[in-house]
Amino acid sequence: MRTRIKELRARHDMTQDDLARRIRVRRETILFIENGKYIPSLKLAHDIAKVLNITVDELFIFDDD
Amino acid sequence: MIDERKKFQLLIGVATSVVVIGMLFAIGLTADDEPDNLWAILTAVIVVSIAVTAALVARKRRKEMRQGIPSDDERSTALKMRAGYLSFFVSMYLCLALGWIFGVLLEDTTAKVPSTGTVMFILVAAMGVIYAIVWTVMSRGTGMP
Repeated sequence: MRTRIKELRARHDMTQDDLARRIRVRRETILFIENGKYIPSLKLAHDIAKVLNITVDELFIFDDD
Repeated sequence: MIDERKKFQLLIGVATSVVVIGMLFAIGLTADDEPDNLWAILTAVIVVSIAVTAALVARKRRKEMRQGIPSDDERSTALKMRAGYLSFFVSMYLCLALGWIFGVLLEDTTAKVPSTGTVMFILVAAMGVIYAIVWTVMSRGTGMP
């Protein structure tokens, strides 16, 4: 499973730190989610999606898609 | 998920700490001249290690608080729980290993066995050190499950 966070962040001209501050998590958490090493909870995924103006479904790319 | 390389590093770190602590215990038990000093040194090393780690963590946290970075989030909480669970199991095996050293290897020797209080203190302190090692390896290497 991969995420589109990096791509969407760039589109919104947002750093990892900016995104982390908006959703009140540590920057490393964003880094690990982007690298596919940490799978966020539904609540966190929802918060990220909300900040990036997309749906939770659009945030992730599943390998079998 | 933990990748294979990190899993191997974690295993090596934990195994090394168990072996080192076990060896220190064995040296302390079998030393002929004043083994009490060795216990004192071992205890001091563990306490200083924990104190230094705690001071470094506290300093980092204070700096982050000033910058408005939360000290905990869902990943760091999960990481702590995972590290705690792993260090608990490693400590249990350490207790088992020490029991074996005391009960089997040193059964017929004249080695000076430390008091129960000393052993308990060192085990709890060692548990703290093991937790710190496991947490450090896991937090640097992986994003946790």
